[in-house]
Amino acid sequence: MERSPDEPATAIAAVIALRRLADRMERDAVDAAVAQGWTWQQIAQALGVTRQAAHKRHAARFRDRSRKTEDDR
Amino acid sequence: MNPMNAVRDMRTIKVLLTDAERIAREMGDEEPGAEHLLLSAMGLPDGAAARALGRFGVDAARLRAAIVQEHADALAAIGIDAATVGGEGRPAAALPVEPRSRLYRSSPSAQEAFQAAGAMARSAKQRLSSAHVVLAAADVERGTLARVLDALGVERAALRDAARGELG
Repeated sequence: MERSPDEPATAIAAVIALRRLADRMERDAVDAAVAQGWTWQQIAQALGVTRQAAHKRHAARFRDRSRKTEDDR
Repeated sequence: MNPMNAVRDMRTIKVLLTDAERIAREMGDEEPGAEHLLLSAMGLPDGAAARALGRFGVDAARLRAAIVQEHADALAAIGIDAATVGGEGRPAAALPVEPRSRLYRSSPSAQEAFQAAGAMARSAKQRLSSAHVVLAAADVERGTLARVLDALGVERAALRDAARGELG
């Protein structure tokens, strides 16, 4: 199959894959920051978004984890 | 359609959409796309989608691997090695399934395919089958699912025939 970056379908597929990769890297980095004790304010500042935006995007993962921990007890 | 069939369709829809979301999150995506909807359809108990794709030597594991490969290839085309930067496909990439709402979340590509599948079932006065999802998938022209089917060498007209064969 033709995989030239000049072709729009190939370029758009790369954009999709890059977004997935960026999302994944962001989640990993935020997880690491939370583990190191960063506040949501600090995480938001580093990401260049509002505190509310950072919280909305990432806090659910930690709620899930704490709920799971309670369930495991 | 008799009311019992409508109830069965609602159960099918629930499993289809719930599993699509679970699969997407296992694969590290926030919301399911059309490719996850097809994977979900392949797991439905009616077995039609699995049989239709099976004629092309494609089972759920192979389709899932092809989706991961498609994203890795797309990154490779612009000089990024997914294995070194993102760890594509590693278990830690999976997102937890959020238990919160009863609202199904899905991307526009999944919504479009899901609606097309439902419309085909209704117009043929058939119960919703995983074969309708295959028919809808065969009509997707662009995006991840279309590229994955191309990469797997699945010819659309033949896929439609296989799906229609399942619907009798």
